[in-house]
This record gives sequence, structure tokens and C-alpha cells, in this order.
Amino acid sequence: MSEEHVIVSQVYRAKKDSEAADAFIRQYLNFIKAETARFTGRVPVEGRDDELSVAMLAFYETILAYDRSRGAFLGLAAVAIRNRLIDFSRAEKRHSGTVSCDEPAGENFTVGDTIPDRRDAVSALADRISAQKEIGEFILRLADFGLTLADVSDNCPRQARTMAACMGAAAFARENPAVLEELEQTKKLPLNRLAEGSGVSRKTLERHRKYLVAVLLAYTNGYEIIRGHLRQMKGGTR
Amino acid sequence: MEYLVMETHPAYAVVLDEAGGLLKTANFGYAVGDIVTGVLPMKAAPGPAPVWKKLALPMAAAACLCLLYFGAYRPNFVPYGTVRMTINPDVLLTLSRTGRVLSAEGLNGDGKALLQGCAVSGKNDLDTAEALMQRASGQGYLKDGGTVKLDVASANADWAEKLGRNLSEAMDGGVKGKTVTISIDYDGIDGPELILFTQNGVHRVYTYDEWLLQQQKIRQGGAAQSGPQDAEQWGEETGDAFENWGESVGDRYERWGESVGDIFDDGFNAGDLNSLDEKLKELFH
Repeated sequence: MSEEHVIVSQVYRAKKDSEAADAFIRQYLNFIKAETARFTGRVPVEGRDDELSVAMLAFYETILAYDRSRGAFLGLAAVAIRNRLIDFSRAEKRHSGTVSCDEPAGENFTVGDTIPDRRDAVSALADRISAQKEIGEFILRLADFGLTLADVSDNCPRQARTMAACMGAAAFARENPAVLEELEQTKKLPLNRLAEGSGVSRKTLERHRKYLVAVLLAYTNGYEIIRGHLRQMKGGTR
Repeated sequence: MEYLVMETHPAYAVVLDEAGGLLKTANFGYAVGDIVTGVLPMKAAPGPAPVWKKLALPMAAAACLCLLYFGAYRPNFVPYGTVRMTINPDVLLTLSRTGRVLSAEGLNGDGKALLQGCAVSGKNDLDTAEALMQRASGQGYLKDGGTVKLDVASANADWAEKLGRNLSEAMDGGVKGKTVTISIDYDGIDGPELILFTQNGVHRVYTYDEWLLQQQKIRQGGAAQSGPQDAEQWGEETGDAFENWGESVGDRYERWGESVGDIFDDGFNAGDLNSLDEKLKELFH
């Protein structure tokens, strides 16, 4: 099997499997760095250069968008990376004259380290650890339903009207704990009850089933931080 | 807007926005549980191309081919009809729908001689007809008072009729100063034959009915009493004669058949040949 065919099969696997996508991106990290360096004129450093993060995102976007009929994958990825970096540099020009907190200010410290932090660092760290724990539990809970956050993200409504409809269904479930209980017990989304109760069409709910499962799970007990973050969520159509 | 980082991957992070949306963004060194702002969302992957988009190119190519075939190739290069021109030279022209001469064939020796040195393939049908008439006239095949017979054949009766009329006019141009009769016959088409009379450069085309009407007018005006009416009478008389002749011949053959059958029924031997000869003489004389 030629190298190009191996890449194509890897890309098609990565489209469906996020772990395979991560492995594929790590495998081609040098290629991504080379394309970034070609644009920026310097070797990017992982974890410090935003351009490298943007290039990696562009590479991942290319994986998801790739089709055999579009030609060689690496050529397409190189173009996508370059276009993304051009867009990013144009957007960043608005911030020219400002200095990133991550810029090195000395041998072992960054600009951010020189700025006095008024926040309670200990409390912030505790909050972050709590959030990590809660999110970890939430991810495990989703796994019980055969879902990952990446799946939920892909299934998330893009249009405001659809999002409002889904939020309407979620609001109905929040006001009717029996719906949430049914979800937990049967591990199936009670589509009929949600559709009848919220007035949202069953078809819309069915189309965003994974997303709705995640949102309704967040409303069950034990996910205070996630629910707290969703404080601005509003009920949609009723 | 603030985003809660839910999951991180090498190339992207999954974040939860305050409106309840989960989205993938660039991972600028995020860690799970971080609250971040100013994220760079991932572009939505395009869905599968709609069927019409996939088919657009082949369909456009097919449409172009159809256009070329039906718009250019078929009208100009596919045989649509034939014209057989019989003077004494016998020539068969194969024409496209647009009147382009696709091939010219001499059906007899004179026809081949007439076409020799005359490149007509690819030329206009009317120009070709005029040129052939000129050549026939110049080479002595067509004399004053001569007759030309055109046999036009096509599946399209309207096209054939129009072609016949146009050809007769064009041919007339090739024999100026001579009186020529051009009769046009349409193969495979029911209906009257067209008759064209050319006299001193003035020609008229008649259907058979028109011709009868014309002759009737001439008779009413005291003009010549000849023409198709006589031909009609002649046809009737001839038809009757042939009918009678057919009947009598039929009877004779029937009788002859019976006689021969009898002979064969009775048994055949060499001596019977004489009696058969006698019987045949009786029947036909």
C-alpha cells in the first residue's frame, strides 16, 4: 500500500474516532510545525505559540472535511493551515501593540509573572480542581449513554432558533423532574414526553438527541459547576 | 462570553459556553476546568456534497455533448434524405437535414461520368443541383425539351416536399434558355406527385389536383383540351383493359393448370409430352 493510501485510511479512521485523530495529529506534528514555520518564519514552540495551536486546529478541520476526490491530503492540509494562519494574523493585527502575558520577560519567567495577581490563587486552584473532578464525572456519566463530549459538540445546534427550541425542551425537563428520572432509569431520551410538553417538534429533538441527553444529564444532581456556568441559559419555545 | 473548558485534545478543546452550546475551539494551552474568553471556534466541517452538485459536472458534459450532437453533428453529418436525379445520367445524392451533400454516387455510367471531376461532397444541395444541371446540359445529356426525374426520399414528408420545390427552382437556374420538364416523385409518401414544368426559364410547380384544376380552367377558357383529363381517361380505359386482360389470362392459366394437373394425375410418361403440347396449343391459340 502506498504512503498516500496509508494516510487516506488514517484520515478516514480519524474522522470517526477522536483518539485516532489525536494520534494522527501527533504523528504529523512535525509537518504542522514545518507549515507554521514557513508562514511565521520561525520554529514554533508547542504550548507557547498560538500560531501552532491554530495550525493544529486547521489540520484537524482538514481531517474532518477531507474527501478522496479532493486530492492528496497533505497538500490540502498545507493550504488549510496557511489560510487559517492568514486569517488569524489579520485578526491579531487588531491587537498589535499589546504584549502577550505568555511572552518571556526574562530567563525563567513570562510577562504574566511580572503582573501582580489580585485573585485568590489558592481558591482558584481549588475551583479548578473541583471543576476538573466534576467534568470527569460528567464525562463518565456520558459514557454510560455511549457518548463523548466530542460527539455532543458535533451534535450541538448551530442555529439560534434550533438552540432555543432545544433549550425549551431542557427547561421543560428541569421543571418536570420525572422526565430526568426517566432518562436516568431507561438511558433513553423520552422524546414523546419532551415533544408534547415543550411543544418542540419531535424531529428537531431527534436530530439533536445526543446534545439533549448531555444537557439533561447536567440538570441531574451533582453537576453544580456545569449548571452554574449555564446560568444564562434561557427557556426557549414552550 | 466565558467558556468552561470541558475536554482538551492536542489540536482542539471542547468548551461549554454560557448559552449551553458545546463547541470545539483551538487549544491555546487550555486545561480542563479553565474558564477562558476569546476562543477561536472550529469551522463546521462541510456536510456531504448534495447529489445535484456531484452530478452537475457530468450532467453539464452530457448536455454539451447532446448540444453538439443534436445541434451540429446530426443536422450536418447524419443522412436525412436522398435525391435521385435521373436525366440520362443517374445520380444519387445523400443529404443531411441542413441540405449538406454527404455523398454523391453515379448509378450508371453517365452518372459516374457526370460526377467525375465535380467535388460536391460537403456542398450545399441547391448549388450542387444547379451545377449538375449545368454539367448535364454542357455535356449534352440534357437537351431542349428534355425531362429530368427527381426522386426525393426522406422520413420527413414536409422536409422532402420543401426540398423538392427548392431543388426544382435551383435546377431551373442551371438550364436557362431550355425547355425542361422536371417531375418530382416523393418516395414513401402518400399523396399526389408534384409536377414541374419549365418553359423558357419560367416554371410552375403543381400538385396533381392543382394540375387538374389548371387544366379545367384552360378548357373552360377554350384552351387546349389535352393533359391530365385525357390521361385520366386513358388511365381508366387502360385500367379496364388490364383488368379484362388479367381476368382472361387468369382464366387461361387456370384452365391450363387444370389440364396439366389432370395429365399428372393420370400418370405421366414420355408420350404424354405430345398430348400436353397439343393441349397448350388449344388453350393459347
